[in-house]
Amino acid sequence: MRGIPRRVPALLACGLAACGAGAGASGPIPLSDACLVASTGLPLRDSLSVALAGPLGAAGPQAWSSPAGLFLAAQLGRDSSASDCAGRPLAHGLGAFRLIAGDSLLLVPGDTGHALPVIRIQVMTPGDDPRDWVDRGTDVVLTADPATLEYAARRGELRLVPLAWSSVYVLLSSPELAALLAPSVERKAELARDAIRAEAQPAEGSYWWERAECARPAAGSSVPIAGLATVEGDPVARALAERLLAISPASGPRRVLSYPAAKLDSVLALGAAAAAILALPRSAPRGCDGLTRIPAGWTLTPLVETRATAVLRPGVPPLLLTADGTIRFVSRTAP
Amino acid sequence: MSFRTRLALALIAAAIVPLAVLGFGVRRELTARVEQQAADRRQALLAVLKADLANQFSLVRSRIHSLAAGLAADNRFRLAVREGGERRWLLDWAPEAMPASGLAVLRVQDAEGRVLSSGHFRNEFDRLDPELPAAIVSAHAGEALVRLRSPDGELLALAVVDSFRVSGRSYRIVGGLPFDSTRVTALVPSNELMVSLELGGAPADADPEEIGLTYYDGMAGGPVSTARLVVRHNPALLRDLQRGVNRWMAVAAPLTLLLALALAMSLASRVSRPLAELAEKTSRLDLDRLNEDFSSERDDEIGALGNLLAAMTNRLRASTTRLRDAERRAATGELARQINHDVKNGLAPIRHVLRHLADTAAKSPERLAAVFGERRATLESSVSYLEDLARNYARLAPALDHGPSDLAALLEEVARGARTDAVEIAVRLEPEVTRVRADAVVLRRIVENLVSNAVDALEGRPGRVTLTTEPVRGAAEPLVRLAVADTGRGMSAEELRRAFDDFQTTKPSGTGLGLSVVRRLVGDLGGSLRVETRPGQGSTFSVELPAA
Repeated sequence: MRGIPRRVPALLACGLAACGAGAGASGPIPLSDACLVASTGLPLRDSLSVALAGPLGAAGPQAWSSPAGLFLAAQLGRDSSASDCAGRPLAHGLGAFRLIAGDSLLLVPGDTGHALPVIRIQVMTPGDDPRDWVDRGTDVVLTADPATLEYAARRGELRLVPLAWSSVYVLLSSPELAALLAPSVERKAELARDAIRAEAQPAEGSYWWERAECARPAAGSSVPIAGLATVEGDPVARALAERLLAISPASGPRRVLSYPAAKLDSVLALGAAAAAILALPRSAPRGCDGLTRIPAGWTLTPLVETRATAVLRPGVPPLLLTADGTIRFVSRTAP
Repeated sequence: MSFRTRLALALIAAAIVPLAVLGFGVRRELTARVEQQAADRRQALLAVLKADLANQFSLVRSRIHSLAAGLAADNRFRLAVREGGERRWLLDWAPEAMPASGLAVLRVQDAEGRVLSSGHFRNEFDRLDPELPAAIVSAHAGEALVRLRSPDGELLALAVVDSFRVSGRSYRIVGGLPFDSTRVTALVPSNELMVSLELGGAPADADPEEIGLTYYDGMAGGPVSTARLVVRHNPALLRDLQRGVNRWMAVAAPLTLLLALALAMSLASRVSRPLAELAEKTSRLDLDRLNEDFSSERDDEIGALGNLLAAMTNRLRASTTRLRDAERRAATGELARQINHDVKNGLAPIRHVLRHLADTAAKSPERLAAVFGERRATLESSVSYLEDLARNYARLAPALDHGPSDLAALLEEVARGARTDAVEIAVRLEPEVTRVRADAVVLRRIVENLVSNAVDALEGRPGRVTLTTEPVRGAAEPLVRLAVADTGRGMSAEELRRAFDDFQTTKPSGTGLGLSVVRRLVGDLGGSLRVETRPGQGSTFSVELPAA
């Protein structure tokens, strides 16, 4: 399977033996109804195919914070958020999987007592049309593509389940430029409504990076106003940058620059961009991961929150919406 | 200036001057042709660019006209602009329609200039920009080159505007194709021409070498100005061509110079060497040395000249031989006549005495002894005369010895023997020239004859004979000049002309062979004889002989 490094089995061995949260546990499962998605259609499938947006397999925190990584962590019982979509801690005993990396990536239930299905994970590659995965009969497709969601909505047999708000797009810039570009509340609403093609809402309130333990150095050097940087292949960040560019005064950034994710850190460190728009996890990562990428002295201005949607075929076992914007399969007998 | 140098210069000039003229002509003709061709190509390229621009504007116009018609007929647009519905559709309309229609710029604006949907900059919606469509509408033919902002930076486009009405409101749709410099460059046939776009100039009169376009800078917000698409000739190519011709000329000129020089030297050598040889042979030519061979086997003018000289020398040699034969014959005849005359003169007294003795013996035999005694002196005088005569003629064929001879001692000795009471003989000798290369006997005969002749020239009157020697200055070989000068009667011009002829004498008892003998003897010694005379004042005979 593409994108799976050879070190995955070793990593998974650690996840199951030492890091597993509830494998083999038993007892009642306290679940919030709002976060529990009941199964539809019978009979329930013993095996599922799940299509996820990449990447998957990198060992670092960024890989785990990607949709595919979060999904994988959730199924393996790794404590990435440990809360449901309502913010309540997950109870133990939901059951967990073992990962088998062979020709395909398989999640096999670790405890047959929880009646979990075997999950075959498929990762979309850039340029893939999620609708093709839907048409291919994939049981669960996790996507934020509006065209796919519209298409799925017109397919009566498919169910669309919005996931938890998982990402926050922020404007990273110097304080001076933030004062120039930071949108008003109305403008944020406009960004969420008109500027981007994804399910979004204005980003309001406080976020984890504002906590004291995530404070960053205030000193920083000003950089010339050249362009707004985004991660290549992130259409939401690109659309936000274009809109900010369109409404910025003449003294603002003059163009949108797209860089590969691996190169963006060095671009920001070298001051090659005046500002950047990045997606951060809405849930607090461990150790304020991700903030070290941001140049010292720059501010984070939240713009919009986004979330994905799960497109489910009939026969999918019940699942739980987690706070980090993914799903976790639970026992077919649980609800 | 030698003939060789002249020939070399002539050949060099004959080679270099035409070469220089050729080079100058080629360079000038080349420049004119290239410039003319460049001008023709420039005009052709301008025509192509104009046609291409017209095609692109026409293409944009037709496409946005179709898009405007479709938009006006679409209810979603009507709902979007009237009630605010279908906003998402409206925002996405231009981004989707623009690539589908092959445009690079597409924007829908309402009458106030508010952007309703933009293809090249999707999220510039709601921005007010009434200047862009107004600038394009006001442009010549409604076509303009515009500079617009896009998320990826600025964008140059050939833009036109169309309009349509929906629900009584007017809307404008701006469309454009990118002004692609690579597309323009692709139309340039070669690097001989250069096309450049100059933006923002003031409107000016049409230039035949450029295409003017209305230009609107949307990044700066105007004003409307002029963009020029200028076609220029690349001067580097012509300069390279001229430099190439110059380089070849720089190579050809010295090469030609060297070849001409070598050819000139060769020709000069071939022509002048035989001429020099002919000149040298000719310089050696003399009546006594006519043995030079001028004949040549060359078939050119030099050979002809040599053969002419050879023929002339042959004729001269034959003529000289004939002349010498004639002279010899003349001299022999003259000598015979002289001898006959002299012998007759010497025999006549003897005949008279013998006739007298015979008469006496017949008529008075007793007186025969007395008569004999009376006439004996006459007989002896006649016999003595004949003996002298015979001795003189014997001197005409001397045997020569060209060994060194002491001229100074000889002069002193001859002078001592010739001095008398009436004749003063002075000897003035240069100490450095005491010896000459000459036969001693012949040298003595020359000196004795000259001194005797000088003494005779005094005709018994008191006078002086001076003998001098001196070296000859400026001669090719060392010569000694011996001069015998007298203060005697001198010679008239006629006498001087015949002075060296045989048997020519002005003295009653002279044989007339003295100076003749001297001339021959001097010639036999390889010397020369010269005489200077003034009637009544004396004569000076100078003999130049090789120094020993």
